[in-house]
Amino acid sequence: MSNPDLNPAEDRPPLDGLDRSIRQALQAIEPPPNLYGKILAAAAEGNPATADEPAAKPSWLRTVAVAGGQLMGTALAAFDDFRVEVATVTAPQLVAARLKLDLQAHELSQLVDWLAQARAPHPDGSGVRLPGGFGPVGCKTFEWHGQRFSVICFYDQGKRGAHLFSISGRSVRQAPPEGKPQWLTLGGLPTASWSRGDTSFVLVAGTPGMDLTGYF
Amino acid sequence: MPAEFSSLVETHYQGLFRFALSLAREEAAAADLTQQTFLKWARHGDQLRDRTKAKTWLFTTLHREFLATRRMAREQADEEELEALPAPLIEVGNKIDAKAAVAALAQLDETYRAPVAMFYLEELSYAEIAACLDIPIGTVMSRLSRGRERLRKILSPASESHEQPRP
Repeated sequence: MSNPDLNPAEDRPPLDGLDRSIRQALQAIEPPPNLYGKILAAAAEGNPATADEPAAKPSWLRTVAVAGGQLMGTALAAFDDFRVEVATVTAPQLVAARLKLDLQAHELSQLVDWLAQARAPHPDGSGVRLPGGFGPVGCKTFEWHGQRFSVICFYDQGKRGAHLFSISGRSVRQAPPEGKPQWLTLGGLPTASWSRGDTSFVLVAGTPGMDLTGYF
Repeated sequence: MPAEFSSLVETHYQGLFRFALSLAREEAAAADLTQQTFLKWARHGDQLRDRTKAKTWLFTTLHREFLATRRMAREQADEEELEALPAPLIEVGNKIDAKAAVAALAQLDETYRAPVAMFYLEELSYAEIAACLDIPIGTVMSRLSRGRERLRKILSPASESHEQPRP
């Protein structure tokens, strides 16, 4: 057989330099930045099987339960959805400077005091450990599904950022446990989530591959 | 969100998006196809007993979704339409830039585009491509051979001109 592409002994055609260039070029395509989060959110919304909660109730009972919960103001969004939202939407907007910080300051205590006065969820200042070279630059408060949350942004000299989001554990369903952080890469960004007391946290790296272990 | 699902999305969404872009040739449509594919997995993926075949399942499903979407839209893109397609925003950093590669791929007949895209993007074997596209291996081999040849013809002048020494 003269054409090596048609040799059944090979499981794929041989590559030459041009093939490798084409492959490199095509594999350099980057998906839209929020696609990962959108997929998770759409799957969770469209199919109860992807949610942690088992879909044990018949659908009409579930509908009634949700409607009742909403009437009583108790229909809470899942913490995992919050985590996806801040990692794939809010943090990239902060990194791109599309969101203006409410307060810019380099003292963590000043930021924590300001958030406390604003009655926004916030970390206990003594519970925040910063890796070498990183310092706070500011904070901001938000609202998500009617629940307030906040962020404190940290940057190092190399302009790499990390963003600590705080939300009340009572404002979400299935808040993470206390203790060791749960790690998950979302939209290419490493994240860690954990709870401390009544507050739940998501720490989001500003750049892919960033090591967040220094915060714990 | 179960960790298995998140992990599956994390592993495959980029490759699926690239494959979808090579088929649909438009970023928003490619993102929709990728999302629909995972939604199908969320609904029906538990029926797949052999979890090692998840990747094949995802690519097969995306390809079928694309064909179904195209059938519904009754798109009959001719050469003029292909030339008018918007180029996706892609980073450049290779001898052949991604924009040129995608544009060249878009010029291939659809029969060749899917196997060629799978070969370059996912480095799949003949057998894996055959399984994804549900066609015989011999058909994959001949389509891949012809498709690659055409793609190389389209891209060769550009790559040669890149390699010309500067005066």
